[in-house]
Amino acid sequence: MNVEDSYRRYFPLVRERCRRLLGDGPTAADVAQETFVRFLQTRVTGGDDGVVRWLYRCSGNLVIDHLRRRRTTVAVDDLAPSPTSSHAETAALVRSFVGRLAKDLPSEVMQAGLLIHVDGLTQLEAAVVLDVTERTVRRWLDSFGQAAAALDEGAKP
Amino acid sequence: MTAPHPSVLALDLAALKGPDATLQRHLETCASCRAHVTAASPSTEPVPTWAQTAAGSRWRLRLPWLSAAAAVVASLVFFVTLRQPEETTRSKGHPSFALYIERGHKVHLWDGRSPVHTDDRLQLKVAAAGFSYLVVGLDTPQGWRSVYEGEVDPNAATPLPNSWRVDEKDPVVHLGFLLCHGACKPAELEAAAVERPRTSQRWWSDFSLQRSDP
Repeated sequence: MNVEDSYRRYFPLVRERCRRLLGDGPTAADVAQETFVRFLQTRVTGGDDGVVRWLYRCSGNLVIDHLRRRRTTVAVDDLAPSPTSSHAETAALVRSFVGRLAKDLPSEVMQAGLLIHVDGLTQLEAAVVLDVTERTVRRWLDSFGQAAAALDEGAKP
Repeated sequence: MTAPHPSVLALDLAALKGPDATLQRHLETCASCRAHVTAASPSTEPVPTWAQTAAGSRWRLRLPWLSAAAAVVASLVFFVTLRQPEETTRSKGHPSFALYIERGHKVHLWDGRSPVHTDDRLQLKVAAAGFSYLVVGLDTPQGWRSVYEGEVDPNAATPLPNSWRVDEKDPVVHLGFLLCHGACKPAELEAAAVERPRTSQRWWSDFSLQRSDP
């Protein structure tokens, strides 16, 4: 597949995912571009399924890197969780503390948290995307939930 | 009772491969999921320059000596069309050079005027118009110094495999390009910078980049 076909086929979903994670601003556009540049420079296999999983992982890592570099707390509205997310309470905590969480938690734990609480993936889907077992995803989600709850508790007057 | 929403992963895959029957029924009744699939579906939009450039380049390649050479230009991509030649016997048009600048996560074509910033990374793409060998030189206080030499495709635009980082020590980056047939020598840079050949055997061009940090 040449670059034109690749761009037209895959870039829209990359752009949408970055918007979902970072809002509809220039930062999301930058991260989407960086994700796609890396995709073009990497030999990704596995057809559409393999490419989508790779794009989710790569864009997630770049978003986390970005959040860690930010000096200020991310505003609540910066995150636009999927309407399919079924974890409303934790998702609200994620929106409130995503910048702090990104700084405090390992990347894989943040990846799992974003996939479940912002993208609204099932644990099985997150396990497939991250190429780990569901048990590992559950363990990471426990860490993620505990960290979010601790930040929430600390923020209360 | 409303059917549960599929995950965005399922919607993204449906955008690429088409929905199965169950998902199709859901999409017919769910505007938000339908909008997601539409937004994530393959488009016919024009492919931007940065994507075309990235496909043929390796931005991450850095060589220590290149940093020391302070070459050039990060996130700007510029396109320099050479002046009319003194000898117009070539049949494939005139050589041209495009400079791409990577700054942070963005890559763009240099506009020929904007200053570059420290740590910008620069990459050159050359359309050699029949020439087969390129020497890239950096103008230093000690004279012209070769920072790249090698074969180029005479018939297609060739992105160089190297990129250069703009060093904080250099207020101006002056690059020269000597195209020839066969292997011309870096030692020819000095003379070429003075004589500025534009013939069927040798072709010279250069440009200066001002560094100005925000």
